[in-house]
Amino acid sequence: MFISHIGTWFKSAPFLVCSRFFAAIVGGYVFSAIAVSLLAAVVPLPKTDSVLLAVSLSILVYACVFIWVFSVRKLQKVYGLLILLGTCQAVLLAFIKGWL
Amino acid sequence: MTQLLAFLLCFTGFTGFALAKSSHYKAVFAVRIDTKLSRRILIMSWVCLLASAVVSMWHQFGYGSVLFCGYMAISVMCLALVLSYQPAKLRSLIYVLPTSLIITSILMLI
Amino acid sequence: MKDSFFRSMTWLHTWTGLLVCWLLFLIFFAGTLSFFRHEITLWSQPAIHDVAPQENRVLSQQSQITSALQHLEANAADAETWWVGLPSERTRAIEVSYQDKGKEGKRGQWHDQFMDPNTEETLNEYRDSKGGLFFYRLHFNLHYMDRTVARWLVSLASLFMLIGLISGIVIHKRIFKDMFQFRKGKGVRTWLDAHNLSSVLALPFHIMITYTGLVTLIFMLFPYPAMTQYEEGRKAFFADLNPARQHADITGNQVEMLPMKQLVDQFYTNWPNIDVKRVIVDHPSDETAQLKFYANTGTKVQDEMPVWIYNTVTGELVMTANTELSVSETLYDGMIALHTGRLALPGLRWLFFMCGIAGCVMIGSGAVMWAKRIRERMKVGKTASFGLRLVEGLNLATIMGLPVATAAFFFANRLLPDSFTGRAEAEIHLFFLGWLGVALMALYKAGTAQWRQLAQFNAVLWLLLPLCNAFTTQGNLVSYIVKQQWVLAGFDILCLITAAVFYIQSRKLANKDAANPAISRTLKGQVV
Repeated sequence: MFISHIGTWFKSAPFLVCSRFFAAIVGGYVFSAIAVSLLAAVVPLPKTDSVLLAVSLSILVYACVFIWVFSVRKLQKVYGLLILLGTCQAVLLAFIKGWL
Repeated sequence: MTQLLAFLLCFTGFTGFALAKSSHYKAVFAVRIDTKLSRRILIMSWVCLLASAVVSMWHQFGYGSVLFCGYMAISVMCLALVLSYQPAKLRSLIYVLPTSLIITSILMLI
Repeated sequence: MKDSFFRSMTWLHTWTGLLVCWLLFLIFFAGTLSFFRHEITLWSQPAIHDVAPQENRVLSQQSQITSALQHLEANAADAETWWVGLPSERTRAIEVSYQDKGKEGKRGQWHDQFMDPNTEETLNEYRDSKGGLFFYRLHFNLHYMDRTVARWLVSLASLFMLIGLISGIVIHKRIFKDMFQFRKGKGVRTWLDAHNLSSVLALPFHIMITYTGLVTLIFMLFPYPAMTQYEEGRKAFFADLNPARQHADITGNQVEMLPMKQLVDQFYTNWPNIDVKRVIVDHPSDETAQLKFYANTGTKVQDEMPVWIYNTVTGELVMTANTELSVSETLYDGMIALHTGRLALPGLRWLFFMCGIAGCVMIGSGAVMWAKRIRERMKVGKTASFGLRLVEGLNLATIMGLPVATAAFFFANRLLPDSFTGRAEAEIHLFFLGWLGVALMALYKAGTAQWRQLAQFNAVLWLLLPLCNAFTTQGNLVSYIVKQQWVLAGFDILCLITAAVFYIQSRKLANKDAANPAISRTLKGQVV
C-alpha cells in the first residue's frame, strides 16, 4: 500500500517536472563543470589561455545540456547519459592530471 | 559618413525584406506581388545587407560588428512601426532611399 | 518526436520565463540605465555641471595628474590608496579619491572629491550620492543582500534568460518571417507581436548581453578549469593571468617617495601620447608603494586597461601589462568589453540603450501575455486563482513600480539636504520605499484602473523631475541647450519623453475602459 503510494508519487507530474529541472540545473552544472575542466586540460595552449578559453565556452556547454535535458522524453535516459558521460570525462580528467 | 552609408544600406536591405513579403507589399502598394519580383527584391536586400556589414566593419572589425547589430535593430523597429501605422508612407522610400544612398556614397568618396 | 520537441520547448520557454521574469526585468532595467552610468553620475553632482569641457584633453593630463597627486600627498598622506580618475569623453571633472587604512579586517572608507580640470583646483561641494553607480551595482549585486547570494541569483536568472532565448527561437518557427508584424488593438495577439518584435529586432544584442553577462561572473560560476589547472587554485591562476593586479600587503615600514612630479614626468618622457584614464598609488609612503598608470582603451574591444607600474622609491618601471593580448584573452576580454559597453561612443551607446529597452519590453510583454492568456481562457463568473492574481500583481509592481522608484531616487538626489548624514544610503532607501509602495498597492489589486493610475502617477513624477531640477540647481533645460550641455539636456528630455509615454499609456487605458467596461483588465505597459 505504502510502496505503491510512493510509486505513483514518483510518476506524478510535479515530481517529474522538479526532477527534470534538477537534472538540468544541478546535473547540467556538474556535467559542464567537468567538461570544461577537461577541455582546459586537453587544449594545447598555455595554462592561462586554456583556462580562459574553457570558461568562455562553459556557458555554451551548460545551455546546450540544459536544452538537451528538456528535449529528451525519457527521464531515465537523461540521468543515465549525464552520469555515464560525466563519469567518463571525470575519469579521463583524473587520468590526465595524474590523480589516480 | 561611412557609418551613415552603412546604416542606409542596412535600412534599404530590411525595407526590401519587408516588401518581398506579400502581406506587407499589399499593404504598401495595394496590389499583389508576383514571385519573380519578390525573388529579385530578396536578392537585392541580401546584397544591401552584406554591403552594409562590410562597410560598417571595414575600419574596425569589433566595434563595427556591434554597430551593425544596432543598425539592424533600429531598421527593424522603424519598419515595423511604419508598416503597422502608416504603410503607405513606405512608398516614398522607393525614391528617397536610392537617392540618399547615392548622395552619401558620393560624399564619402570625395 | 519532432512535435514533442516543440512542445517541450514551448513549455520550457513559458515556465523558465515566468519563474524569473521579474528579477530579469529588474536586471535589464538597471543594466540599461547603467549604460549611462557616468551621465547619471554627472547629473547627480550639480557641482560639476558647469565645468567646461577641455579642448586639449590628452595634452593637459600630465599637469592634471601631477596636481592631483600633489593634492593627495598634502591631504591624505596616511591613506591606503590614492585614486585619480582623469576626465574622459564621458566624465568631466578630475576625480580625486583616497581610501583610509583598513581596520580590524574591514576595508577602509573612501573619500571622494572633484577637481576642476581647467584650473586644477579642488571643488568644495561633493554630493554624497551613488548616482549611476547605484544602478550599475543593482544589476548584479541587487541590494540589502549578501553579494555572493545575489550574484548567484542573478546568474541563475540570466541562465534562464539564455534558455528562454534559445527555446524562444526554436518554438517560434516563423520568427524571421513575421519580423515586421505588429497587429495593433488585438488583445493577446498584439502582446505576442510586441513580444516577438522586441525580441527579434535586438536578438543579437539579447544573446550577446546575456551570454557575456554570465561570462563577467564566470570565475564565480565555473572556477573548476582554473582549479584543476593550478594546484594552488583560483588565486594562483589570477596571479598568473594578471600579475599587475597583485600587490604586496602593507608592511608599515615608511619610506621616502620620489617627488610626484618627477615620477609623472618620467612616465611622460617615455610614453608622451598615452591617453591616461586613471592613476593609482597603492600604499603611499610604505615600502610596498607603487604608482600605476592606466590607459584609456578607447573604442577597442578590450576591457582590461593597459597598465604601467612604477616603483615610487627608485622610480623604475616594474611592469607593463595588457598591452598585447593573446587570442584566448582577446576572446574573454572582448566579451567583457561588449557587456560593459565602455567602448561605445554616443551613437553606439544609444543603440545599446535602445536594445536594452527592447529587452525590458520583451520581458514585460512576455509576463503580461501569460497573465492575459490565462484570464482569457477563464470561464465567465469564475474568480481568478491565487497564482494568476500573484502574477498580475507582480507584473504591475515591477513594470510600473521600477520607474516610480527610479524617479524617487532622482528626486531624493535633488531634495535631500547636502548635510544629511548617510545621504547616499537614504537615496537608495527612498528608491526601495517607492517601489515597496507600488508593490503593496499592486498586490492588493492589479486591475486596469490601477495600471491607469500608476501610469498617470508616473507621468506626473517624470514631468516634475526636470522642474524640480530647475528649481534646485543653477541650470534648466533651456540653459543646458543654450550652453550646449548635451548630457544634462538629454537627461531632461528623456524625462519628458518618459512622462509623455506614460501619459499616452494612461489615455489608452482610459479609452479601453470606456469602450469596453466588461474587460476589466486590459493592460498596456510600455516602459521607458
